[in-house]
Amino acid sequence: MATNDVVVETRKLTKVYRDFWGRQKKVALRALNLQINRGEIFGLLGPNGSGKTTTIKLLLGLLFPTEGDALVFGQPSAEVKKNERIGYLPEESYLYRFLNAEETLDFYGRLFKLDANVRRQRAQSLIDIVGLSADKKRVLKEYSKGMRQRIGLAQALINDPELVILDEPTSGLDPLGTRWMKDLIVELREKGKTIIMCSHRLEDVQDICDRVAILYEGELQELNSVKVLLEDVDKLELQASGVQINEDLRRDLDEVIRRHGGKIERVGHPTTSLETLFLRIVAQSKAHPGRRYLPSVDGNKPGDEARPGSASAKIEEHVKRA
Amino acid sequence: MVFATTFVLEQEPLQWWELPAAIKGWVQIAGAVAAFALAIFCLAYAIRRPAYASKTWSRQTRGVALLIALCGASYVLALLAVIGRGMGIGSAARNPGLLQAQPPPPEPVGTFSGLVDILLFVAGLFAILAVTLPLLVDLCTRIRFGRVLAIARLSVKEAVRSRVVWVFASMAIIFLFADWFVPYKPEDQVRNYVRVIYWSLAPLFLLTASLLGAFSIPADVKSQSIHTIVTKPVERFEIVLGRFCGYAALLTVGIGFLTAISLLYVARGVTPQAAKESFTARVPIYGDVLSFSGTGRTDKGESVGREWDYRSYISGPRVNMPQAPRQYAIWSFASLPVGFSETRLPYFEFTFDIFRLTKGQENRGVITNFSFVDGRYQQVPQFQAARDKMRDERARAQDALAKAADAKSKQGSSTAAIQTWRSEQQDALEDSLIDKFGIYEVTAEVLDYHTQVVGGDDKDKVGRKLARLLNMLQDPAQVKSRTREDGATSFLLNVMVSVDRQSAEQMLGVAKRDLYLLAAERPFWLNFIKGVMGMWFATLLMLGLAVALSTYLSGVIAWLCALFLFGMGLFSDSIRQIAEGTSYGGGVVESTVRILGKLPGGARLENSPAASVITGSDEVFRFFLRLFARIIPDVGRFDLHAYVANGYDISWMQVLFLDNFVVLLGYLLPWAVLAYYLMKYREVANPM
Ligand SMILES: Nc1ncnc2c1ncn2[C@@H]1O[C@H](COP(=O)(O)OP(=O)(O)O)[C@@H](O)[C@H]1O
Ligand SMILES: [Mg+2]
Repeated sequence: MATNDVVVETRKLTKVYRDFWGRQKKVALRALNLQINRGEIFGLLGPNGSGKTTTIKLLLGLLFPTEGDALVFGQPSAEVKKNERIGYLPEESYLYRFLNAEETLDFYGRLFKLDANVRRQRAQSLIDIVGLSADKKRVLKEYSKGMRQRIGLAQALINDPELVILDEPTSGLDPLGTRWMKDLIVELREKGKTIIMCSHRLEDVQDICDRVAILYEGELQELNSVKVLLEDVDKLELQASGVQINEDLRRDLDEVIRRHGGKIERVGHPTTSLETLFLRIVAQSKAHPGRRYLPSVDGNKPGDEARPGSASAKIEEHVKRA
Repeated sequence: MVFATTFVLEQEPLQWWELPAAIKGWVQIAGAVAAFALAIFCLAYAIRRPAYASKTWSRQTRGVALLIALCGASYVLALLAVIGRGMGIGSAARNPGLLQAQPPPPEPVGTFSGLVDILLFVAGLFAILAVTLPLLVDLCTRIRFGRVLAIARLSVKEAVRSRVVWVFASMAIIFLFADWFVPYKPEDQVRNYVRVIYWSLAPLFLLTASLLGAFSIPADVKSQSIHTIVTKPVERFEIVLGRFCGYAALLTVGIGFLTAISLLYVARGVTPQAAKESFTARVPIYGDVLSFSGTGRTDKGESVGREWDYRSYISGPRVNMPQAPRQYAIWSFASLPVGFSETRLPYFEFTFDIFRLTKGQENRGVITNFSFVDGRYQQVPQFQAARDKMRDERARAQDALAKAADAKSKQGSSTAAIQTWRSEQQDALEDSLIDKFGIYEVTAEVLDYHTQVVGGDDKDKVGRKLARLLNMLQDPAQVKSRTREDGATSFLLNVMVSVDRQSAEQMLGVAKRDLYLLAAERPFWLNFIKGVMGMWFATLLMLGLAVALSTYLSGVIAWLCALFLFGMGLFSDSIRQIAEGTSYGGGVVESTVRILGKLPGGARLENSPAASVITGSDEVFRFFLRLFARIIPDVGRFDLHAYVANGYDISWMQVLFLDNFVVLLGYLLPWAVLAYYLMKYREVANPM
């Protein structure tokens, strides 16, 4: 790969937290080597305290490396000029509590060399994108966690950055918000942006990341594309519709599989994830406003419709696409 | 007494001719501190090079390295020069002590006293350049005003919305209730109002400035909102500048607003007495030197045992010491305005303190002689001889005049006509005496602590005579006659003040600023605003200090440090005195010993090993104190309310610009450089 397609590179990046007297408190990151390419969604994965946030802060120059280098766009991370091309959503976005959404975006816009018109237009369109149009005049201290995350994302995108760094973008969001966030991230990639995100929620990463690095105790454990990491080449999966499960079917399938030297482990209905279920319910209640769940008065249970069926297929498909 | 009822300046403001010396001292001290920091930096760099230091040397790094090398070389040379001088190679030129009763020293005092002095200056300059080069480069190439402005606007919005500005409203309480608590004599009305307002506004603004400055950046760090800023293309120093400018703007608006209201408050219903006393802004021209004669010392009068030694005293004739020489306080003027006329008469004003050795004349003032004397009389006996001659001549002329008047009345002239003729003749006589001797004498009754004009109700008459004298003295031919053999000129005018024989046993307390030529009177309101500007400078100093400290310290600690430094600044005079070893009773250790041993402050300690330990430890203590004295701000100079309260004009250039603004810059610049580095090399995501 050509070097100018490498957006981020770390070489033996190490971070040791020390106290005031220079005594070692914690080795948060140990000799991390990474190369992140233009146009990919790169996931940093790992349990709490594994060094994800530390890595991101090192890339941004919020921390200085104890050893090794962190290069962004080929420049050392302490260089301020590179920030023109970067957007950053912190893990917990505490913005200025006394500003409203519009003023917040205006303020951050002023930190870039942006024309006043461009700044205003971009702020408006970002407010629309993150869905805060109705609340744009309210000050941030009245915002809920989810709304803060949204305005945090908006401020990260105010400069139309080439590289977007997101620290736990889905934390604190409801499943709907999570979905929205993931869609947005994918959309960003389609616009040619590079995204680095970190999360401890595996399913988020699984859905959208092209490549992931798995950290544990500050050390890199795995680094590869999601597909390669998750594909279980020893097993086969098959989905079919329009047939009922019965002994005949099972026998026939068994025969075919045996002929090819395999063995059936399980035949049954696929279960969906709770996330999918939730999304479907929300979609349905939007389509038919006023319906609600009335337990056991008559047979009309909305819960029935929540089972996999043709109505949910679309959503499933949508999820798969992501 | 701190609340003196008259205009008192304990500390002379900086003079223009002192500026070179002040700059030299500043460069040497600030340079030494910078060099010390550089030395530590180089040492640390050599021991453990940080991983994030770039591997290649940029042009800027090379420049800094060169400057560091030059600085080090200069210090080495200075050291060699010191050693060389110790061995007797080359000797430093010494500043010759200035002789008293000579024209003032606008000679270049700032020039160097020797090679070591120059080398220390040069080394300091290199160190300062090395330290400020990165900052200057950043300022020119990276720092954008737009971003600073954005952060400043944010600061203002934050402060306004968190209702900080409401503290300004608390001033209303003072306006409402001050009258209840401020008793005043009618003539002290303006004085007291100005004081009350000053002492309420100053703490209010200083406290607000310290709180705003100290907590803003630490709060951003703590709430992590700073992470979203430093990951934008924002230079770290822009945050410091932005915060400073934003709060400075806010405080400026607040001060401006309250100044306008205060002015209305003071100006409503001024009593006539107060209007005369201080509802004006007199522009004084002070004498260049105040010296004494007949008191035993030329630089000091007698002490009357008052603890506060701002004024020194001359006494009138003593009953039991008839042979004692006459005591004079002499104000010497090197130059005065030219071209006095009927429409522009010279008025001399004065405010003296009275000290009585005997009781009984409580309600009367002290009869005092004022002699305005040509500066060519360089010694008191010379003057006295001329004066006696003049008096003789006057007496003779008056005799002749009396005889001529008699003759006229015998000839049958009317009494009124004779009166007129006689006073005309008298007038002409005085004029000719002034022309001949260059001396003019006035007697006045001095009242305690009151600003009075020489001549009192007859001030215009006296003014006409003084105009004649002063115009004559400034005549080019006269100026030439005052040129001495060594090329220097003597003073233009000496004003000699002594207690009259009628007021024996009375003493007058005088200070340099107690007598002056009133050059002009300006409006009070403008002076009030100028006085507030001093407070504004002090507020900016507090703000800058707090912001600079908060780039590294947590909010509370930064706030306490700023308050502490500023608070120590109130005592900077005493600290400096102890540090220089000029305070009465020795240093801290010595004074403690004195107190414990009940020794009087002036008594000498015995020569013993213990005594040398005591004074030796004071030396060490003083060294650290001297360092400390440099980092505390000298805040007293920003307190200009004494000018306003007593009705003296604050000069734009000399007091506001030179003594306040330039000094403020000189103090804040090193802090700004410190803040630049602390902020730039701080891991904002890893607060200590
Ligand atoms: N300022 C700090 N001082 C000391 N230790 C820290 C600091 N910040 C983070 N750590 C430690 O470093 C490790 C990695 O932290 P972090 O990068 O935040 O983890 P993650 O984001 O993966 O949850 C944790 O053990 C954490 O306790
Ligand atoms: Mg984290």
